[in-house]
This record gives sequence, structure tokens and C-alpha cells, in this order.
Amino acid sequence: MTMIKPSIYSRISDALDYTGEVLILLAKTVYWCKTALKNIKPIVKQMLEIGVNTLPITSLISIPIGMTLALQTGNELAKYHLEDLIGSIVSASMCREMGPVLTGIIVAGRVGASITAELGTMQVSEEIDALKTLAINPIRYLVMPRFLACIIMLPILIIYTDCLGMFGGYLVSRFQIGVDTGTYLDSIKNFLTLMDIYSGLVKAFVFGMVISIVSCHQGFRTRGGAEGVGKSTTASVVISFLLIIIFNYFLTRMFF
Amino acid sequence: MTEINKVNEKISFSERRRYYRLPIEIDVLISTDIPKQLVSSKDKWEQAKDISGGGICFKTKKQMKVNSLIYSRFSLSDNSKEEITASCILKWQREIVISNGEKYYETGLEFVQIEKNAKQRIIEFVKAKEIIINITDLHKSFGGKKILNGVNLQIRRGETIVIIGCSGCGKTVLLRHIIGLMKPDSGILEVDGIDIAKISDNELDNIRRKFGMLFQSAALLASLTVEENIKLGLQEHTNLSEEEMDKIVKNKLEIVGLDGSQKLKPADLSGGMRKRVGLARAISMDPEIILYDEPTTGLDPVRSASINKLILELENTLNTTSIVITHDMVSAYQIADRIAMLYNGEIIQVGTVQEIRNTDNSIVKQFITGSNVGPIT
Repeated sequence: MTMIKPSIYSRISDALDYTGEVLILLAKTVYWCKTALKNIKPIVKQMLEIGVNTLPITSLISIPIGMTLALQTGNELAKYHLEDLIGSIVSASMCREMGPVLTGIIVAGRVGASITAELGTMQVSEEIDALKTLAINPIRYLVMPRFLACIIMLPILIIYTDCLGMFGGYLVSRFQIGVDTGTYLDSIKNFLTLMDIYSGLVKAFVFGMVISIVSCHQGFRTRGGAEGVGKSTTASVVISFLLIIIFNYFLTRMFF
Repeated sequence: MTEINKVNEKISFSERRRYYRLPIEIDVLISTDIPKQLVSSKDKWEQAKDISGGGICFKTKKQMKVNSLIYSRFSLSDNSKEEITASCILKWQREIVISNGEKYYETGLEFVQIEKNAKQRIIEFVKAKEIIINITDLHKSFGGKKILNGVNLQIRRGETIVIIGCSGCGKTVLLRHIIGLMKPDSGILEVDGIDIAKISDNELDNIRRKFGMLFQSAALLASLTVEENIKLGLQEHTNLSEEEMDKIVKNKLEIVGLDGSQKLKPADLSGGMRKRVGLARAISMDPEIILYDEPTTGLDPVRSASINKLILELENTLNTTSIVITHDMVSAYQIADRIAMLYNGEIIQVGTVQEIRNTDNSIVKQFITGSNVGPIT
């Protein structure tokens, strides 16, 4: 028992330290957002990287997800002759859960990993120290543009994912289950509420914060060369995934 | 002025004579007219704010019995050839006990009348003598291992000091403390009188604008071109136009012999070229203090000599203070005004090149001669 105690305490202490560091980084980043207007160029660059370059992969994933949703629900609903409701189920699922969580996970895997790897490499090659010696605040110069790009682009990406998912659902409903276009669209129009869309957007905003801050923080705490960069990148993706899933539950509880 | 004359009349001739030649050496000059960076500590500056016509602060071993008004001559040099005369009022006196228990008395006098052009001469004198970086009893450990174990070092404005020492003895750690990249476990590290371990990030950034640093690995931003790397500081801290910045970049690259490589990426450069671009970036903002972490390592002898020449030129033309870390004793002898040796986390000797060459310290002697026989194992 005496052997275990210190280990548990040290783990709890590490977890608290980590949470504290992340929250401090978040607070400092929010503080530096006041300089956003003077730093439009790097923010736009990051928005292109985070948003536009993520479009192909989100398109590839969201259409099949919408199709699968339609297929699963459609087959079941068809048994009770309720296939007209496919549109509402697909759209609500996409907007409330699938769109935000899927996009969050894709961005965490693609963008979050790349942010950590980039900042981690900068950290181990003393580039971040070089910025500090030039009196350039690394949080303002490196974190703030990525943070703003994430919280701006994630909601846009999620709307895009929602639309493509619904389109995927439409393809299956129309050509496999036999629901006509008008019925599918009416179903969406009648059942999809603004709250479904808003909740997705709020989730997107929160996930954007989580992904950018966790990946930047992991980048900054990277130590020990290439191996350290690899470890930080893995940790960044795992922690982001975990936090997205956890926050998703609490946000869902908050809204519904 | 009439008030002062009245007081003057009250002082007897003998009293005047007693204070006519005060055996003091100017330590720090304080005045509202003199730039803040000339004042060596913050509290002195706070006190100086009260002084309207300028003043002087000095330390003496014996408590001086100064009258409220004195007419004094101050020596501006050790051989007392340069003197100024001034009427002063005593502003404050306090006792200072330093770490080894020695007592000093600090006296602050306000100038009431000062001879013409004296102020400029005082400023120049103080500048020449001023400690720009004061490191006192600096300690730093990593994972229980002591790296810096009570470092004491004073660096004067405008000098080139070379810090030598064995690999892994903490030279780079010391350099990183000086620019605030690391915080000490304990001790004082003052830059221009401000303890940089106790200030906020924003204040530290203001201090850092005085610095330029050449990293051992050059630490160029890999995602930016050579030109963008050198422009970084200029873009962040100046309102210069792109054309003006281009001119500065060209000028700095000419200095390091790399003009024409503006559009290259760091990955396209050799190690030596990267180091020279790093140097161009370090001097891009014409800093007051430049830190060099092994500036000649990895360079051929000709390039090493040109970097040494550049360090000397910067010192002579811009009165830059240079702190250089090197193992290269040839370079050290060429560029140093003083050499400090770091050993076992302490500065074991500081002296001029001649003093270091003629040292009796067996550790320093072994290091500078590169002998494998001696106390360093």
C-alpha cells in the first residue's frame, strides 16, 4: 500500500499540473486574441490549412457516414412503413452528434497532430527560444492564429459535414430505399430544429478550442528530439479524442 | 536659488573646506535628465525621481558626515585628473550590508549647482563604468543536479566578455538565464538594474529587445526563408516599410558575407551558413547586448576569423556589449576584453586576457593550455 500511494498521488498531481498548464495556456491565448486584427495574415494562413485542406477528407468520410445512417435507420423504419422519416433522423443525427464529433476527430487527427509535430520540432530545435529572444511572444505568434483558425473553421467544417452527410443519406434513401426527393427534404424541414444546428455549432466551437490548445500545449512541452516529437504527437491526438468525447457528452446533456 | 545662497552663508569657511574634496568615487549617477537605463537599481530610480536637478549616488566604506549642503569636487577617474565641482544637498543615506557581512554606506546627493558641460562628462563616465548585467549568487539545478552553484559575475557596458569552461559545465544554461529563457532557483540576475527573474512576461519582452542571441544551432525558423528570418524582429517591433526592411536584411547579410541568399530556406544552407544567418538575425535590431553561444564552432578558420572580426567591429562601432561562450581559445584571446572561467557551477576566475594567460589557477591553466594532466578530469 505504501508503494502505491505515492504513485497515485503523483499521478493526480501530474493530472492537476497538466490541467493547470492547459488552462493557463488557454487564458493567455484568449488574452492575445486582442492582437488578432494585426495578425490577419497568419490567421488566414492557418484557416486555409485547418479548414480548406481538411475539406477533402471530411467529404470522403461524411458522405459514407450519412449513407450508413440512412441505410441502418431506413431498413428498420421500412418495416413499420415509416421510411419518410429517414431525412429527419439522418439530419438530426448529423447535426447533433455525428457531424461535430466526426469532424472534431478528423481535425484532431489531421490538424492537431500536425500542429503538435510542428511546434514540437520547433521546441526541440530551439526555434521557440529564438522567437523569445526576439521578444516575440510564442503564444501570440504561434498559438493565437491556430486557436482562432480552429474555432472559426471548425463550425464551418461541421456545417459542411452536416450537409454532405445529409446528401449521403439522401442518396441511399432515394436510390436504395425509394424515398423521393421531396419527402426526404420535407422530413428534414419539418423535424430539424434550429437548436439541432446551434448545438452542433457550439460543440464545434468547444472542440476547436480543445484541439488547438491541447495540440499547441503538447508541442510546447515536447522534449528530447525526434522521439519526443513522436510521443507528443500521439499524446496530443489521444488527449484531444478523449476530451472531444467527454465534452460531447456534457454539451449534449446541456442542450437536450 | 536664493534659498540655497542663504543656507550657504550659514556654513562656516572651515566646514566648506572640509567638504571641498570628498574622497569619493562616483558609483552611480542618478538624474531625471539621464536615461533610465543608466540607473543600476529600480529603488534608486524611485528615489531619484524626487531629485529635480540631477544628482549623484555613491558608496563608501565609512559613513560620511556630510552636511545638508556641501560644495564638492568629484573625481571622474581613478587618477583624479577629471574633476567636476558642484553644490549638493544630501538626499538620503543608508547602510548596505552585502553577503559577506561587509558594510557600505550609500549616499545620495542632489546637485544644486553644477559646472557647465559636467553632466555629459558624467554620463560618459558612468556609461563606461556601468554594470549592465549583474549576476549574484545564481543557483540552478536540474533533477537534483546542481548546474549553477552560486555564479557571481558583473558585466560592464560595452565590453566583450568570453565565458569559457568544460563541456556540460553550464555555460549555455548561464547564457539562457541572462536572456530570461530560464528562471534561476535562487540568486539575482539584473539587466540594467532590473531583476529579470521577478518581472512579468511583457516586461521581460521589453528587456529582451536590448538583446540579440546567436544560438549554437542557429535556431532559424525552418518554415521561413533567410530573409523572413532576419525580418522577424523588424516586422514585430518596428514600423519600417518593406523596402527599408529589405535594405536592412541586405546590409546584415553583407556583413556576414551571405548577400544573395535572401530567398533560400534554412534547409538549403550548410551549418556554417546557418550560423551566419543566425548572426545576421541577432544583429538585425542593432541590440545593445549580443549573446553568442559558440559562434565559431563548425566554421572554417577563415570564417571563424571573420566572425571574430565582426564581434570586435560591433563592439567598437555600436558600443555593443558581447557575451561569448566558446571553447576556442584562439577566438577568446582575439575578442575578449575579459575572460571568465566557469567550473563546477561557479565562476572561478575573471580577468583580462593577459591575467588569464598568466594565471596561477591550476584549473584555468589546464583548460587554456588544453592539457590532459591536471585537476580537470
